[in-house]
Amino acid sequence: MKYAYFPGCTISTTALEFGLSTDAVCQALGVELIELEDWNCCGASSAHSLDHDLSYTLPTRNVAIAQKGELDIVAPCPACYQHTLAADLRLRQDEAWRREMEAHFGFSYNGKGRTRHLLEVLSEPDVLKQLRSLVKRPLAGLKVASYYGCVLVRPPQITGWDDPENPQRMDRVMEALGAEPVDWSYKVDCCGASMALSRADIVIRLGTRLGEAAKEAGADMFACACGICQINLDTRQATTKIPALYFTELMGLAMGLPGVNKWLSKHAIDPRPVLRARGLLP
Amino acid sequence: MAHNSESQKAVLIVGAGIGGMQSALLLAEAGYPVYLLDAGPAIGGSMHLLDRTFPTDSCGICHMIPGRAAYCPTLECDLHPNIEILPYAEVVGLEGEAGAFTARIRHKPRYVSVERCIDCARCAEVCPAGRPSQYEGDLHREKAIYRPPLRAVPGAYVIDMDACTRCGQCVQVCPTAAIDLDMQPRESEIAVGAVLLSPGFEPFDARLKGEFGFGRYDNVLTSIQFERMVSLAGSTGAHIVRPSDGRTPRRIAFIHCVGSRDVSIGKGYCSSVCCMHTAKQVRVAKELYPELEITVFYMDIRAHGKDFDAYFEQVEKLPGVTYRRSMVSAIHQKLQNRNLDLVYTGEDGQVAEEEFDMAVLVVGFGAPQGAQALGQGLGVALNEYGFGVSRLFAPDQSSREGVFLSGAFREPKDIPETVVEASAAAGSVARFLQGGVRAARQQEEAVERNVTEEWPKVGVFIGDRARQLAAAIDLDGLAAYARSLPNVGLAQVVEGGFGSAGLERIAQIVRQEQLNRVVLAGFADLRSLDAFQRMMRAAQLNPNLLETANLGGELLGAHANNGAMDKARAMVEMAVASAARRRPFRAPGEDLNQRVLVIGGGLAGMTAAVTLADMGHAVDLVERGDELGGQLRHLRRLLDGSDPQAALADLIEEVQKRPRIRVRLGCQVEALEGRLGQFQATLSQGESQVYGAVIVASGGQEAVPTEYLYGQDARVLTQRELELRVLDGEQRPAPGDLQSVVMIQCVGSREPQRPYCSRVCCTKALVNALALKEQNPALNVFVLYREMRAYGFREDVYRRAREKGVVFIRYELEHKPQVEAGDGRLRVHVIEPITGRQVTLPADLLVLSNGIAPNDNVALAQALGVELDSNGFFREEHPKMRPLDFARRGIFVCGLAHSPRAVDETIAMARGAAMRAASLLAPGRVEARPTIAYVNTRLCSACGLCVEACPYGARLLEPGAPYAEVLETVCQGCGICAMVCPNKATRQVGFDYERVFGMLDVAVG
Repeated sequence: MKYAYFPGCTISTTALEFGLSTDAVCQALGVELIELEDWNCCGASSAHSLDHDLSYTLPTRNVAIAQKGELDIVAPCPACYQHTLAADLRLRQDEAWRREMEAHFGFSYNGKGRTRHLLEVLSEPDVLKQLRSLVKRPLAGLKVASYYGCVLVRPPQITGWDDPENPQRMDRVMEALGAEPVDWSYKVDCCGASMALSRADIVIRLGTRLGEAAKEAGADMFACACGICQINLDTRQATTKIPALYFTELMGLAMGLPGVNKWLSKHAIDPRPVLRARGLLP
Repeated sequence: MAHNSESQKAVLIVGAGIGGMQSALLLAEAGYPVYLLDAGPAIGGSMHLLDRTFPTDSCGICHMIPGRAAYCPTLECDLHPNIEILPYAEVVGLEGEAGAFTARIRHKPRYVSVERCIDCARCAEVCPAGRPSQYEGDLHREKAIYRPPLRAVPGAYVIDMDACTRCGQCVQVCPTAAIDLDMQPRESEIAVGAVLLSPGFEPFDARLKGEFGFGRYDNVLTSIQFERMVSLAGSTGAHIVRPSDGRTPRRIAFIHCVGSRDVSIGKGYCSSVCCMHTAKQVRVAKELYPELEITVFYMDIRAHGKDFDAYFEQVEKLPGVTYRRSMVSAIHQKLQNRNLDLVYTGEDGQVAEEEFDMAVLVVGFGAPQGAQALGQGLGVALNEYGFGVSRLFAPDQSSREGVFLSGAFREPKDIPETVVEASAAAGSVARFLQGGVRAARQQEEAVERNVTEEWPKVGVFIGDRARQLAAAIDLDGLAAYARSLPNVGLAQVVEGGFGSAGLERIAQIVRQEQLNRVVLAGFADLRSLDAFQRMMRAAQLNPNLLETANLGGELLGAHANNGAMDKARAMVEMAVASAARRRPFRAPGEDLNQRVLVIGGGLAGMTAAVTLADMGHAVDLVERGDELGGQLRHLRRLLDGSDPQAALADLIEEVQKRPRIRVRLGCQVEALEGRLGQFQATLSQGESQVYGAVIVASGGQEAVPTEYLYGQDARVLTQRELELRVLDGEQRPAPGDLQSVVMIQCVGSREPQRPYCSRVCCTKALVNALALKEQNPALNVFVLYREMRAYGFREDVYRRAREKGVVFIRYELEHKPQVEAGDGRLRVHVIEPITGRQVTLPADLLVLSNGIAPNDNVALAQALGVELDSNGFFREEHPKMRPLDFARRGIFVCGLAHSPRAVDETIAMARGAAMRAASLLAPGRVEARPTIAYVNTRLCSACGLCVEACPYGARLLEPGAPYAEVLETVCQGCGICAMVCPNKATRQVGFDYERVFGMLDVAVG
């Protein structure tokens, strides 16, 4: 399997451990990620607040580049994923806009490529099968609260790869790793996203609620698929201290991949004590 | 089924719920052969799910049918000779033309033979496979072979093939070989003149609203499941229990509008009934568990029916009950105790979170499964939600001629509205088929032998079915025993039981042996009453000389091994003792005058008159004003764009061109004496007349505003005046010149002086607001409301208004808007409840949505001997069960005289009342019931207690008379007067002491 990889801005910065673990896991699974050449910002943050058309133009350029390589795009960040998906959809549905974009970027949109999220791809049945065969140290006894975040599986008419109210794909990955996903009901509740900077009080309230809910459900750990979710959970739980790992970190841990220690050291809430207590650290 | 000797066009009714059954019974009584079809395995529809119903908290599907109180309509439909039930079937095609259709029916395989199933339940006992019980709202499971609920007809079992494992165990244990796992669907064709669609509605699948966790969280229920849970007949026996741990909840949350008013799932409309049935469930729950704390989350309270607001207000005031105007966006479950967390925004704008032990999702109601197929197969137009489409002025006509619709399939509605529409649709079908209304049963000239001088000579006939009785008792031994009893002339076992051949033979033997009393012992239940009475006539005996002993019902299953023979002997002995003491009874009867008096010449009165005239009745249409039309004369704009004035002109023409209708303008009813079939009316003009029935359609009036500067400032108008002057009339002022219009709802309604809802004003405001916006898109339109009662599909109009920019601001009764004239424009001050701040709106026009007031009905009510309710509207016999009737038999009510209602609702009520009247007059002659009261005049002390006690006005004590009398054709045979009579002068036919004590003596002696 080969994909045009769209890393996005955080993968080498604030979500470094997400990026590193993604690389390692995909390599081990034989999922080839070919970084999109000369990719630009997807427009999810400032552009989308300031200029409607700009927020579509930016990701359209990436779509045009990906089309050259004739591969589907895979993005680890849900916001990049949503924005690129939306841009692709607009090209399909809005003829006038498509012609404008084609003229602007000098390409002819063929609609063959799709935009996927990393979790979508890594939870496909054949990938899970492969994953199970590569698990060296099953995460037995580890109770995981799969946290999808509010953006990943909505709106269902556009994303369409998991239930929007009670998604299951990350839970299936956790099961494949030998962990126990808990059936908690806050899987798609918002963490506060980028209000972490402007309204920290809201993020604290939401993060605390998520922490308490995960604790009530008996979870040892969060599994995340989004950079800002991970940061908010990592830094804004007022009454609990439940570690938040990227699902790819857990995959890497179970597969016994090198570099795990480096990823785990990047967390504000150190996950190592919990893992050690379960006997899951080498 | 029995057909009349003259070939009468048959009617196919699709959907046998309360509406379908009502229509079927009315049409059957009127002489039409009816095919009553249902997609389910039994008739009865959604009503079987309900226990107590709003607003009277009374239970009982039993009362819902015409004529016979306390009879179950499902049983009635089963018994009626003119009705053939087609269960578990679908209509797949309708060919031909209106009046001469051929319907193609597909009979789904039941895998169990209805004729052979004896309801022994052995199959269910051995069945290994299960399915969720749809009847219990999926709360419990039943077997793959299951039986429709207790009251449903037919009561035979049915197999859900999707759940069945085909293990064959049921086939093996069935004692009558009734199960055939290879049963195939079959098709049949029937010829009908008209089709009536009443397939009802179905509850919304709450799993489609995943955020509430139904199907995932243990303690989230739907309102259907909760209904079963609080019902004594439900599987928990009226115990409210949490599914997770079986404990009683302490805090329950109800969430309104799950699956209604929600465009995200394609259910934009309002389901109309849920606000009220939730209030009922809250009340019933509090009654069962006074300590319960209940919070109801809602958007608007749609209590727009008669007495609904009063009911709701009582529920809202119950201790521990909180109504919160806020919708819950999601439910979260606590994994450890399975409690539920609900997040909502309070009325003060603050976000709050509360924990509950149980949540009830109040699900909406959608078009029934198969509606699309039905629409396509029959060529009938459906709206975007799958409901049948009709027009305001022809509410029961579908888009295809000859195919009618009624009830919830047309738009979600409650039980009384459904019953009214079903009656109306039956009337429309009858009119369409132009068969008029004829007696169901032929009045044969019966030759009866006079047996009064003879000593009782009882013939005892024993009849079995499928050898079931023979397996339990010794039939020949029983016959021998019977022969040994006093007064028995003959006793024998009848080969083949009481089928038509057996009954023929019995009649023969009775005549031959000159027997003068008959006992039928065996399978002799109510279902066969008609057949038995025919047998008695053939035997030339008065039908009252027949006694039945239902051994089949009493012995099998109960006394299978011990005591069956003893009981059989005792039953036969009692039956013989009773039969010997029976006397012939010829019910007194009188002719029913076929002329009908309709009081009121508005929309309701004219509609009723035209309907009756087309069914063959002469009608006197009496109107106190000097022209026809009533309130319809003032309507200009309607919901569906129909032109009310054109419709009015058409209707007047319809009245005038029917010679059977005599119109008397400037005429009132001053007195009404007599009874059903023989009313004597004194009119203010002309001589008194005799009528068979009376319909009160005397209408209502506008409740003229007395506040908000109405009448003092020319810029303050009613909605009516807005239509007349601004929208359609002289355009004074023209909408194009306006900048701001403010509307105030509930003017003079829902206040202490006039506590009821006038129902039509919210719709009116929406229609007019949209019209203003259409004429001037830049115009600011503000609607100040307390609840927006845009029920049913009116919700779409409400949404359209908001989309077009009409601004809706809520106000509360405690802080009514203030209007200031000042210089320049009007200023309207209103306190907005969420911010708590005062908002001031400038207004070029202030439009008041004033309500509907009753006419001054006191004099008319007195003249007619009927009652008014506390608001001054006419009080019907029972708001739920008998919305069209008065307690005084033969008088009916419809239209605004009953309560505020819209055009289509008025038409339905008028047609319904007409059909009720017609079907009661249909037999041409009314015979007293076999259990009427009679007076032993020597014992009567003329105390008058019986007159007071009688609910039907059937007892009479003339001043100075030595004894009281019975109006035999009005008497319903209830027995109340016999109970209260202190001297036992009043007795009941059929319950004479000699006979009853005679039976008891042999039973205990």
